[in-house]
Amino acid sequence: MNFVWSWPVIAFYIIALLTLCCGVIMLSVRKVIYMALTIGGVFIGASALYFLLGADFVGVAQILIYAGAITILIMFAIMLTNHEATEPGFKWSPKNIAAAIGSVLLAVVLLLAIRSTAWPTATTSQTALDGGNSNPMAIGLVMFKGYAIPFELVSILLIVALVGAVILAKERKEDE
Amino acid sequence: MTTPLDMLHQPYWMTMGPMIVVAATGFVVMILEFIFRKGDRRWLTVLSMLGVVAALVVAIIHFNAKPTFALNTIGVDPFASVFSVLILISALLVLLFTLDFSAKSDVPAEHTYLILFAVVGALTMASSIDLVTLYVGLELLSVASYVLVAVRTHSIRSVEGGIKYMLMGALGSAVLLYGMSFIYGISGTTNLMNLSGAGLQMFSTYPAITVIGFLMMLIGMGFKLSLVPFHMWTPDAYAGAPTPITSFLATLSKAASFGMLLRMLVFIFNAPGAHLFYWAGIIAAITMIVGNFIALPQRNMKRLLAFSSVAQAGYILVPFAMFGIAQSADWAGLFDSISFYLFAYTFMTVGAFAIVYLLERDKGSLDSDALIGLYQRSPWLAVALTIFVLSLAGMPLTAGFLGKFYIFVDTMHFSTIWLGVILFATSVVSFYYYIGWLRKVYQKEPVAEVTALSASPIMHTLVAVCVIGTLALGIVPALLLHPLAGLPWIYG
Repeated sequence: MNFVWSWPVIAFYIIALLTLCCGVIMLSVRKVIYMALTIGGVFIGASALYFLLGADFVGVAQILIYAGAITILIMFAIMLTNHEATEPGFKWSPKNIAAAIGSVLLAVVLLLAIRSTAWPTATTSQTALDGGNSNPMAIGLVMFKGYAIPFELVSILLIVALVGAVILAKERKEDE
Repeated sequence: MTTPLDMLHQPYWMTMGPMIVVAATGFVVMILEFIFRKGDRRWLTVLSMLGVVAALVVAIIHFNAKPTFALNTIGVDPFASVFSVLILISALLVLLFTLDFSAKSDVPAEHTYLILFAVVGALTMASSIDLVTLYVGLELLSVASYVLVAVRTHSIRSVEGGIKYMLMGALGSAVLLYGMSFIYGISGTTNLMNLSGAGLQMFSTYPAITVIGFLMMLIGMGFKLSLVPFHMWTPDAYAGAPTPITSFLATLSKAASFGMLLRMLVFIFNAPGAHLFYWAGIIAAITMIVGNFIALPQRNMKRLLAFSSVAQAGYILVPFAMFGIAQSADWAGLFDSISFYLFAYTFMTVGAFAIVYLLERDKGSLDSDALIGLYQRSPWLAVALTIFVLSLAGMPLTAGFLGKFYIFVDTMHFSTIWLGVILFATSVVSFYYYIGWLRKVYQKEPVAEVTALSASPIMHTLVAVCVIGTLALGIVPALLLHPLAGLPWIYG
C-alpha cells in the first residue's frame, strides 16, 4: 500500500488517535461518570470518520443519536442513581491475562486478514451521489422501499423495548 | 435497487401471513391488557393461543407454496414453511404452559404479548432471505427474551439471569453483525439469493475475509444457541427464568436460531463449503462433550436440563458440518434430519420442563431429590417423565432416538464418522444422569403417607400432548418424514 500525505489522511490519523485514546481512557478510568464522558468522545470520533468517508447523513445521525441522545441518557441514569460508584481497580489475575492474550490474538488475526485483502472499491455509479447531496435521498429510498419490511419490524422491536423497560422498572410490589 | 419496486403489489399475505396474524394478535392483546386492568386476565393468554392457531392454519395453507418473496426480503419456501410450523407449535405449547403458570404465580400480564412479539421475531428469522431482516428478527426475539427472563423483578435470580443473558446476547449480536459487515463489504449485497450465487467467487477472491465472516456469524449465533464455549449464560438464565420461559428459550428460541444459522450458512457459504463447514463440526463435538460432562454433577433440575439442552444443540449442529461435503442433491436428507430432531426436541423438552415445574411448585425446591417418590404420587406423570427423559437420552421407540439415529446415519453416509462416534459416546454419558433421575422417580418416598401430586387439567393436557408428540414421532416417524420428504428444499 502506498502512503500519500494528504489532508484527509492526516485528518484520519488525528481523529483515529483521539478516538482510540477516548476508548482506552474509558476502559482505564474507574469512575462511571468519566466513562460516560469518554464514550461520548468515541461517538463523536466515529461520526468524524463518517464525515471523512463522505457519509454525511450517517455522521449527523451519529452525533444526534449517539453523542447526543444516548450519552446524555447514560449521564442522566448515572446521576439519578449512584453517581459516586467506582469500579474496583485492575489486577493481573489469570482470567484477565487470558482475556488480554485472547484480545491481542483476535486483533492480530483481524488486522492481518484486513490488511492482506484488496478490498473492492466503489464503482462510479455508487459514488455519483451529487456531491453528497443525494446521500439522504438514497438512504431514504433504500430504507422505505427495499427495506420496508425490516423497517416496520423495528417498530415492533421498539414497542417490545419500551414495554420491557416499563415492566422491569415498575415499582416492586414485594421483596423476597 | 435497480428496478423500481412496486410496494403495493407484493405477495405480502402469502409470504408473511403467519407473521401478520401473530403481530396483529399481539397488538390486540396489548390494547385489551391496557383496557381491562382488573380481575383474572388469563383469557388474554387464551386469546393469544387462538391467534397462534390462526397463524398455524395460515402457515399450513401455504405449506407447499411455490417459493415467493415479497420485496426481496421475506418469503415463503419449504425451509420457511417447516420452521414456521415448528415455531408456531412450540409457541402454542409455551402459551399453554404460561396459562397454568400465571394462575399460580405472580407474573405481569404483559408477558403474554411479549411472547407473541418474540414469535414474530422467530418467524422472521425462519422466513427472511436478507441479512438485515434476519438480524432485526433475531433482535426482536432476543430483546423480548431478555425481558421475559427477568420478568419476575422481585426474584434476584430472575434478574441475574436476565442481565447475564442480555450481556452475552448483546456480545453475540455484535460478533454476528461484525461478521455480516465483512460479507457485505466484499459482496456489496445483503440479499441471500444474490450472495448464494456469489459465494465461490467471494471465497476465491477474498479467502481470509470469507473465513472470518463465516466464523463470526457461526460464533455470533453460537451465543444465542448456547454452543460451547459460548454457553456460560445458559444455566443462570434457564434457572432464573419462569419455567414456561425456560422452555421457550430451550425450544422456540433455539429452533428459530438454528433456522437462521442454517439459512445464512447454506445460502452464503455453500460453494466454498468444504473449506468452512468443518468448523461447525469442531464446535459440535466440543459442545456435545462439554455439555454432557458438565451435566453429570448437577443436582438442580433446571440447571441439568439447561446443560442437557446445550448438549442437544451440539447434536443438532452435527448435520451442519456435512453441508460442505454433501452434494446439493443430498442436502434434502440433512434438512430432514435437522428438522426432525428439532420437532422431537421441542416435544420432549417442553414436557420435561412441565413436570419439573409441577415438582418445583409442589416441593418448593429444584433439587433432584424432589423427584423421589414421584411414581407413588402420580404414576401417570412419572411415566410421562420417563418417556421424556429416555427420549432426551435417545432410547429406541422415542422420537429422540430416531432423531439421533438419522443424524448418525448422515455422519456415516458423508464419512464424518468421528462426529457420529462422539454423538454415540456422549449419548451414553447422558444416560448416566438421566437414569439417575429415573432411579429417584421410582424410589419409594420415606414418608409413610403419600400425597398425590396435584396438577391442573391444563398441565395434564400439555404433558399429554408432549407425550403423544414424543411417542408418535418415535413409533411412526413417517408422520413427519413423509411431508418433509416431498419438499423441494433446493430450488432456483
